[in-house]
Amino acid sequence: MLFIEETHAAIGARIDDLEVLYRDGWMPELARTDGARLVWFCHLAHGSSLSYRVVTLTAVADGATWEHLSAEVRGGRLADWRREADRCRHQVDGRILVPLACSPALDLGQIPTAPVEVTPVMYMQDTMWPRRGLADQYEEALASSYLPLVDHPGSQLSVEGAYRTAPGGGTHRQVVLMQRIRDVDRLTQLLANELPEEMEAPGTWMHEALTYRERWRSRLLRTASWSPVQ
Amino acid sequence: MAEQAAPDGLVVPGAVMLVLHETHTVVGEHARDFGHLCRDELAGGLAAVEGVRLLWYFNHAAGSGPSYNVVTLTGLSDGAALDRLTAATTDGALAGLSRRMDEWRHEVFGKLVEPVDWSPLGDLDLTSVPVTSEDHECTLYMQDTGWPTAPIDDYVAYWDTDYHRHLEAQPPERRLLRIEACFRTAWGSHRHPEGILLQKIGNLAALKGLFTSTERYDPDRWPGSYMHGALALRDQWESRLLRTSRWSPLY
Repeated sequence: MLFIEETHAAIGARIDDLEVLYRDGWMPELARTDGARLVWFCHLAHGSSLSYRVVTLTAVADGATWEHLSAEVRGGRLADWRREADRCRHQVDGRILVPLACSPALDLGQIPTAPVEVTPVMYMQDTMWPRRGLADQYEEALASSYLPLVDHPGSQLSVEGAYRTAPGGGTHRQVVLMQRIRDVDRLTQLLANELPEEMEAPGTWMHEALTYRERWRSRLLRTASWSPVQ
Repeated sequence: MAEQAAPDGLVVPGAVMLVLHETHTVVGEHARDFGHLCRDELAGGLAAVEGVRLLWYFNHAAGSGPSYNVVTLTGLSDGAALDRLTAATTDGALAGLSRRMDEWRHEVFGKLVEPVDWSPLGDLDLTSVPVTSEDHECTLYMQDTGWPTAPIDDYVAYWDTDYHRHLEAQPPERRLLRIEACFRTAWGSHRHPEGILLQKIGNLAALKGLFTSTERYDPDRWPGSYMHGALALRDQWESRLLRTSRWSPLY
């Protein structure tokens, strides 16, 4: 499976139109394509980063499906939709991601293809740049140390997807985590307070993971109320 | 500190005329060392240079942006103070400190910015800024950097009339943000046109509301009127959530 992540720099006055195009156009159109689904439609949380940014993740079953969809977007049945979307955005930056072996499984057949209004949720999406030559070890450490660390009901985060960039899909090699935030109050406390020194002491994930990476970027995402996956 | 003659002939002792805004990409393993070095030596070292004071020391809040990023704002009384600071860090009294900071950071990106005429920081007397590190609570700020398509003068004027004054009119208990400073980039430094708002977050519950709200802004009521009106001037900006250290001179 591949995930096409797109970050849209929307034109401020047309961001609502872009959202409607995805909800009423892209989502149902993909449902007519075997092996392709819109998974997440998110906004960068207001006040946390760049203005008028939308992040979408579309899942495709394999490279052949991606190739087919790419042709449809370029000059097929999705070309008009794409032209209208382009009128709503300054630019779009894409990445192609491959799930890591430790990533939670996603059944494309279970993803809604019609909008259902629910309460939006927030995600912390982390993109990591492992140190040169240590990407494999970092991914192993994620699977063996980080995921078990957050895999309990009291955790602040729940990992919903873990990926790396595919060949030709962006900076090689990034690791991306889609982490649902379980409690936004705890998030704001995290932002407002210093991390206790003991959380970075030897033996902790924060300390040990520095062996493999020190550069990452977090983005706070809020799902649209109709996003297929929340 | 030298006194400066303001354009209208008034004498303003030590008022802030320029701000050196620096973003430090710190080495992860030495993030705490870097912070301790700055706490113990930076504020005092800068204060030894005439017309210079460290104002704010921030960490980019974990979970909201790049890892191990520090932002510092240093007040300068005038261009001559910039000369003195440059000399001190190149081969003067601050050269050794600068080298040690370099060992614990990958790079530092700097720009010179000027307070706009209505900026609350314009009233700040540099000599009143603490130099010794007093432990205090951390404070969260939202720094907005905007890139208008309109002239920068129009953009910062709109910020004043349609944003700053409305924020100030709100009851403190409901106010999400309070503008502590507003800058524009100085000639020749970094990008033009660019404006910066440094805003203190006073209410974490309101911040949560901002993150999670799906409400459409009403163009006939503030803040919707501001959000809609400002689109005529810009639609591209970036917010950064910055948390002061416990010893930051201003917080």
